Amino acid sequence: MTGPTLEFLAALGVAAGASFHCVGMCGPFVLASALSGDVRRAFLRRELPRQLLYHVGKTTTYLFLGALAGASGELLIRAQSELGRPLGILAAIVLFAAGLAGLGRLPGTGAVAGTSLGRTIARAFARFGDEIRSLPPSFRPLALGTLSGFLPCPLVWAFLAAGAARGSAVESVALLLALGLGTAPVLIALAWTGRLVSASARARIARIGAFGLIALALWTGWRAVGRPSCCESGVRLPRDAPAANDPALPAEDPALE
Amino acid sequence: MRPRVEESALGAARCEFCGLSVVASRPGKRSLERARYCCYGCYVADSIVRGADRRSDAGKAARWLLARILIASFLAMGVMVFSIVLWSSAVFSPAEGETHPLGPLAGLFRWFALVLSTPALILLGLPILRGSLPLVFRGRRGDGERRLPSAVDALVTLGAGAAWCLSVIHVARGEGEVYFETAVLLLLLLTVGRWLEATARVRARRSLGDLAALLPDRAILVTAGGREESVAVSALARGHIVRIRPGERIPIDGKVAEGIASVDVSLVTGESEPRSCGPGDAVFGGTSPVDGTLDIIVSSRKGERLVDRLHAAVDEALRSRPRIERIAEISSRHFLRAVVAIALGTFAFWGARLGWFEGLRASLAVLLIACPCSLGIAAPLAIAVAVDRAARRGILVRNGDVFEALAGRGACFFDKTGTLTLPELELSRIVPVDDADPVEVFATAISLAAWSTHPVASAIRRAAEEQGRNQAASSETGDPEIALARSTRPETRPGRGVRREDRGGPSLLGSDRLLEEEGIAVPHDERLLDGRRTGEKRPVWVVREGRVLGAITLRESLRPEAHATVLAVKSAGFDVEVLTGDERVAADDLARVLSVPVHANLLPNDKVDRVRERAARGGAVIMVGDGLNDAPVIAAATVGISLASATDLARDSADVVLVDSGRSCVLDGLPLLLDLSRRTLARIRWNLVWAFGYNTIGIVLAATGHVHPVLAALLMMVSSLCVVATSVGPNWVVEGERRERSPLAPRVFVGETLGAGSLERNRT
Repeated sequence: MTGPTLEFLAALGVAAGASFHCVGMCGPFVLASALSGDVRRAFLRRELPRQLLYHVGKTTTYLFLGALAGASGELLIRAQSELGRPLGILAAIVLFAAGLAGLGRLPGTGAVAGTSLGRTIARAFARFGDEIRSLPPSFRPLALGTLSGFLPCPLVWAFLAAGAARGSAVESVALLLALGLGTAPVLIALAWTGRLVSASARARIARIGAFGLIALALWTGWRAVGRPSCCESGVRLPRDAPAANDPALPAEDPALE
Repeated sequence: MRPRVEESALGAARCEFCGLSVVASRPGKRSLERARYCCYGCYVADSIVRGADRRSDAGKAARWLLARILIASFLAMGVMVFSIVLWSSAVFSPAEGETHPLGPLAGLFRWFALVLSTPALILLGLPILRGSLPLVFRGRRGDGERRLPSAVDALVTLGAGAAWCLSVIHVARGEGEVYFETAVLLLLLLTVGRWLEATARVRARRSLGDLAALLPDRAILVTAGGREESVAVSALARGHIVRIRPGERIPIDGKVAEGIASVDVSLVTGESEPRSCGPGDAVFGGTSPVDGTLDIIVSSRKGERLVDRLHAAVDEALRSRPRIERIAEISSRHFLRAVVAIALGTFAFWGARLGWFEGLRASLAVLLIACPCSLGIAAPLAIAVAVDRAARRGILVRNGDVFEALAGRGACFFDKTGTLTLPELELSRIVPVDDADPVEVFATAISLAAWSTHPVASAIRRAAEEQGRNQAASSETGDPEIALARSTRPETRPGRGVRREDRGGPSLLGSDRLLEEEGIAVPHDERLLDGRRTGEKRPVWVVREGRVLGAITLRESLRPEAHATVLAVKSAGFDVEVLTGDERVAADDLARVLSVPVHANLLPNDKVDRVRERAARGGAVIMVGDGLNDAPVIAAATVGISLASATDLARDSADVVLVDSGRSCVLDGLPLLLDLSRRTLARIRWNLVWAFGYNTIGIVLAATGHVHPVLAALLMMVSSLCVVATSVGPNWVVEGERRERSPLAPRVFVGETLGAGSLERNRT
C-alpha cells in the first residue's frame, strides 16, 4: 500500500472516530431531512437515498472548502516557499486544539453561541433553513447537506488546516473526502435508528477520535518541523521556483530534476 | 407563472411589479397570457412577493426559483472542485517524457466538470435569456429604461454560454483550457445578485402590506341577542359590533361602543405608548387592546381601512417617478450605452492581439463589472424605504419628489386655525357676574349645551367631561330645577345661541345679540376685555331665568407640539410664517407666543398670492394646512402638507399628509419628515457617487485586462449589496424621540378651579 493511500485511510479512521462528536452538531440536520414515521422498515427504500443525498451535499461542500484551502496553501507557498513550514505547524496546532476540544480540555464552538457573532451566524443559518423548508421535499436533503457543510466545526477546520498545509489542492481535496466519507456512517446510522449507542459509549468512541486528531496533529507537526525543507514536507514546487535550485536540497528529490 | 398585466388606455402592457411598460411577445390575446416582466429582476421580485402563499402557483414558482439557485450552487461547487484540482495540476505541467501528476484522471475530471456545469447553465441561463431577449429585439423605443439592463443580462448569459461551448470543444479534442467554472459562476453570481436586490426591493415595499396581512381574517361579531359569532372580516358591514379581547388585533376601523382599554397603536402610528380608548373613541385596524375587552362599532369595511388606504397611497407613491429617480435612470441609460460600446471595443482590441477568446473574456469582465444595478436602484430604493419609514409614523408621502425639496432651504407657511391650533375650541375661563356662583354658571351652561352640536357647546361639554361630569351639576348644587330643566330641549337661535323657557324666565347661552333680543342688558366687564386682548374669542353669556349669571370665554388652543415644531423647522433652514384669516388680535398673540411673523385678516386668495410671491424668490415653499379648506394654498406651494383625519384621506390632494389618527402630536411629523428628507437625499447622493466611482474604476481595470470575469461578477454583486445596504440601513430617525411640550401650551384645569371658586386659564 502506497504512502498516500495509507494517509487517506488514516484520515478516514480519524474522521470516523471523531464523527461521534458530529451527532451533536449535524444530528438535527440529519433528523430534519429524515422522513417522519417508522422509517426502519422502509429505510433502504425510502430513507437511505435521502440520507445519501444529504451526505453527497455535505461532502461536496467539504470538497469545495478543501479545494479552496489547498489552492490557498499552494498559492502562498508558491509566492513564498518558506511558508510551507509555518503552515504545517499552524495546521498541527489547529488539529491539536480540535483534539483537545474533543476531549473537553478546550471550549468548543458552543462557547461562541452566546456571543453576538454566534447569534448572527445562527440567524443566518436559521434564515437559510427557513428557505430550505419551503423547497420541494426531494430537494431538501441535498440542500440541507450542502448547508450543514458550512457549519462552524473544529473537525472541519482541523482538516482544512491540514489540507492547506499540504500545499496541494489535490491532497487537500483527498483529505476532505476522507472527512466526508468517514463521518457518513455514524450519521446514517443515526437516521436509521433515531438514536445511536448510549451517550456514555458515544463519548468513549468520540474520545478515541479526539486522540486520533491529536496523533494526526503530532504527525503533521513532525512533517513540518522535522524535515529541513518545504519540498520534503510534501509540497511540489514549480520548475521555475527559486527553491528548486537550492543546492542544500538533496539532488535525488524528483521535484528538482 | 406570469404577472397580471394591466392594459393601459394606449394598449401597452405594464409590468405588474414596477409599472413600467412591457412589450408583449406576440399580439393578440395570447400576448396577455405570455406577458413579460420588464426585466429579470422584477420577475424574481414578483416571484418572491407572490411566493408568500406557498400553496399558490406563484408560491410554487418562487420555490422552484430558490431550488434552481440552490441546485446551481451545489453544481457550481462541484465544478469548482474539479477546476481547482485541474488548475493545481496544470501549474506543475510535466516536462517531456513525464506523466501528468493526475494521470488519466485529468481528462476524466474535465468531463466531470462538463457534466456538472451543463445542468447549471440550463437552470440559470435559460430563464434569463427567455426574459431578456424578447425585450431586446422587440422592445419599442420607449422601453429604454429596461431594455439596456436586459441587454446586459442577455450579453452576459451569451458570453457565459460561449465560454462553455469553447470548453466543450477543448474537452472533446482533449487539449486546451476549460472555463466551466467561469461560465457557471458568472450566471450564479448574476442570478444571486438579482435575487438579493429583488429581495431588498420587496422588503422595502411590502412593510405596509405586511401590516395589512397581519390583520386577522376573522372577527367575533356580537349579535343582537348578545351572542358571539365568528365571522369573516370581509363579511362585516358598517354598524356591526365586533368584540376584541386583550392581545387580539383589531381587524377593522371603528368606534368603541363599550369597554375601556389601553390600545397599542405602535404598528399603525409608530407611537410606543398605548393610548387609552373608551366609548366614542375611534380605533383602527392593526391596533390591539392591551388590558381590556372592547366592543367596536364597525365604521369601515375591509379594503377601506386606514391601513388599506395607507398601503394604497404608499404603493401609488412608489410608482411615482421623482425627478432624481428620472435623472438617475437617464444617466443609467447613457452609461449603459457607453459600457456596451467599451465592451465591444475591448473585445475587438484584445481579440486582435490575443485571440477571440481572450477578447471575449475581457469584454465579459467589462459588462459584468459595470453593474447597472447600482445606478438603477440607488434612488428608487432609498425613496421606497423613506416612503415606508414615513408611513409607519403616520406621514403619508404621495410624491417622492418631496424628499428632494424638503432637504433644501426655503420658506414654510403654516395655517393657524386647525393646523397650529387644535381644531376644537377650548373653554378658557368662567367669569361670574356680581356674586354668581361659578359652579352654577357652569352647570347652567352644561344643561343648555347638552342638546347642541355647535362648536361652543361641544367645547363646554368637553370641559365637563374632562372633570368627569357628564351630567348637570345638580347633585353638587342641590338644585332640582336644574335637573328638571335638563329634560327640556332648548331652542336653537342660529348665529346667536340657544334659548330655553324655564319657569322663572328664559335661560340663554349665546352672544350679546341673543341677550339684546331678549331685552337683557349686556354686562360690561373689564375682565372680558382683557381676555379679548389676549386672543380669547367673544364671550358666551349664560343666563338663567332672565338673570345673567356670567360669561364663558373660549379660545383656540395651540397644539402642544406647535412651538417645538416651529423651532425645529426654523433650525432646519426654513423661514417660518403664519397665514390666517383670523383677527389681528389673535394673530398678534400667536406671533408673540411663537416668535414668528403672523399675517392676519387674509382671504384665501391673499394666502395664495403670498405663497406664489415667496416661491418666485427661489427655494422650496412648504404650506402646512388642514387639507380641505386650504386646498388652493396647498396646491400653490412646492410641497403641500396637510393634516387630515383618516376619513379625509381620499379627498386630500396634498403632497404629504400628516395623518391625524387621534394621536396628540400630529405636527411632530413635520420635523421627522424634514430629517428623513435630508437623510434620504444624502443616501441617494452617496449611492450615486459610489455607483459612478466604482463603475468608472472597475471599467478601466476590466478593459485593460486586469479583472477576471468571475471577479468582476463578484464585485458587481458586492457593489449592489453595498447600495442596497446603504439604502435600507438602520432606522434613520431616532426611535422614541419625543419633543418636549411647549411650556406655553395652555391647559384648563376646570375641576381644580371650580373647587376653588374661580376659573382662570392655567398655563403649564
